[in-house]
Amino acid sequence: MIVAVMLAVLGSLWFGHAPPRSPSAYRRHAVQAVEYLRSQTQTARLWVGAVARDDTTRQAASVALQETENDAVATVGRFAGWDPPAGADGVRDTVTGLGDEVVQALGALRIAAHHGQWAKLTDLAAPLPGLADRLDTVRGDLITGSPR
Amino acid sequence: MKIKPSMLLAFTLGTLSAIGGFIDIGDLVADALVGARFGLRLAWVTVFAVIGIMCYAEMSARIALKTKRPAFDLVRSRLGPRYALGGLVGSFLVTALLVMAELCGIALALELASGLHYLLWVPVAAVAVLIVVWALPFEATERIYGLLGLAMLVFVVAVWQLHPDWSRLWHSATTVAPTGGESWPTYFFFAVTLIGAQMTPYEMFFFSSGAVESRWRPKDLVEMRVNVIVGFPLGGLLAIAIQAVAFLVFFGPGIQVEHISQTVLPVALGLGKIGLVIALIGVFAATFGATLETLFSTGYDLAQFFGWAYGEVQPPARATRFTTVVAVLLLLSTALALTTLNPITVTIYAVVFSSVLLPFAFLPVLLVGNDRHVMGELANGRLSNTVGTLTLLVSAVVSASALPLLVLTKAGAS
Repeated sequence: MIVAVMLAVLGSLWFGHAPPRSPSAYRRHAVQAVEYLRSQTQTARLWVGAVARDDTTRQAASVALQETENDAVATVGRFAGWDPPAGADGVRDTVTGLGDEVVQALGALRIAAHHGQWAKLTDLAAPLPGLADRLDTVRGDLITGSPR
Repeated sequence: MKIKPSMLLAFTLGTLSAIGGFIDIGDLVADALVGARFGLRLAWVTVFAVIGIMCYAEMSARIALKTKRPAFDLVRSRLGPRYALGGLVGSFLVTALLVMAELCGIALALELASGLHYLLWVPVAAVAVLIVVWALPFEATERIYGLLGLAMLVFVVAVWQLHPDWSRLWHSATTVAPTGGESWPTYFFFAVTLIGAQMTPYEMFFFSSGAVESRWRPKDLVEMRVNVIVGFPLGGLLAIAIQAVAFLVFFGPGIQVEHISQTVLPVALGLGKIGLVIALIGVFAATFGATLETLFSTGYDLAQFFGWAYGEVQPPARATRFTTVVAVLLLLSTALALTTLNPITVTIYAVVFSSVLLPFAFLPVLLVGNDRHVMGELANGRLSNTVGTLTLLVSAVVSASALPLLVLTKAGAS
C-alpha cells in the first residue's frame, strides 16, 4: 500500500512536470501558462483595488503583490524552459513575450509597494486590464489553433 | 433536567471549539481553490463530509467513553497488529505532512500580518507550539484556539457583504457537474480533495483520545453529542462560506487560488481592513490549533500502538516517549518546512493521501461500535449503522480512486 502511494506520488510528479513532446501537448501547456498569467494579473488588480479603497493592510498587500510576481516569473520560466516542437516557435514567442510584459508590470507594483509608494500603485496597475484582455485573446487563439 | 450555568458554559465552549477546530490548512486551501474553480458545485461534498465525520467522531467518542480505550488502541486489538501497523505507518506519514503544512499556515498568517517572509516565522511558530505543548493545560489550549478560531466566522459575514446574487449561488450549489472548461476527472479529484480535507482521520483519533484523557463518563455523553451535532455542521458552514466568497470574487476573472493571501482577499474586499485582520486571526488560530491536534494525534497513535504512557493532561516528564515523539515530529516538520517546499502543494498531497486512509480508519470503529458485547447499551443504533456504513462505502470508493485521479489530473492541474 505504502509502495503504491510512493509510486503514485512519483508518477504524478513526473507526469505533472514532464516536458511536452507533441505540438498538441505544447499548445495545452501554453494555454495553461496563459491562464496562470491571467490569474496572476487579475489577482494583482484586486489587491491594487483593495489598497486604493483602503480595504487592506499594506503588509498583506505587499506580500500578495510579491507572490503574484513570483508566480508569474515561475510560470514564464517553466514554459520558456521547454523546447517548442517543430512549427510551434510562434506559440513560444507569443506566450513568453506576453509573459515578460506581465512580469514587468507586476515587478513595478512590487517595487512600489516595497518602497511605500502606495499612491503610485493605481497608475502602475493601469496596463493590467489590457494585459488580461490580451492574455484572454491569446488563450482563445491557442484553443482554436492559432498562433503557430 | 435542571441545566446549571457551568454545564451551559461547558456546552458552549465545547461546541465553539468544535467549530473552530473543524477548519485547518487543508480546508483553507481546498475550499478556496474549489470555490474559485467550481463555485458551490462541490458543496454537497462538504455536506456529506460533515455528516460522515459527525457519525464517526460521535461513534469513536462513545467507544472511548464505554471502553475507556481510544480508537487506535481498538484497531490493534480488533484487527491485529499487522493491520494496525499499516494504519500507523500510513497515518504517521500523512499526519507528518499535515503538521508541516499547518506550521506553514501559522507562518503564512504571520507573514501577511507583518510583511516578513514566512520562512522567518516557521521556527518562531515551532517554538510557540512547543511552549504551548509543554506549558499549557490541555483543556485551556483546546478552548483558546477553538474560540479564536471562531474569527473564521468573518467568512460567513463576508458572503453577505459581497452582495451576491443568491439565485446564482443556489443554482451553483444545486448543480452536480463541473463548470465550463473543467473536466469530470478534475471535478472528482477536487471532490476527493475536499473529503480528505474535511474528514481527516486524525480528527477522530484526537477526539477519542481526548475523551479517554479527560476521563469522560456516561454523563458526558450529552455534552459530547451536542458538541458534535452543533459544532461540526457549523464548521461545515464555514467551509462552504470560504467556497462561496472564493466563487464570488475569483470565478468571474478566472483566478486560480495558489496562496493563503488569496483565501483571505475576499474578506478584505467585503469587509475592509478590520475584516482582513479578523480573518488573519482566524487563520492563525485554526492552523495553530490544527498543528497541536495533528502533533498529538501522531503521538497518541504511536503511544497507543506500542503501549507507552501518553497524554497531554500528564506532565511531560511522566510521558517521556510520547513527549519525545511530539518534539521530534515538530522538529522534523520544521526542517521540512524550511526546505522551501510549497506548503500549498504539500497540503493538497497530504489531504489526498489522507482520503486514501479513510476506510482503514473507519472500519474498526464501525465494527467495535456495533459490537453489543463490548458496547452494551451504548452500541450503535440503526441511524449510526446506516450512516456509518454508507460513509464507509463512499470512503472506500474515494480511497480507491484518489491516487488514479491524482495522476490522471496532475493533481488538479489539468
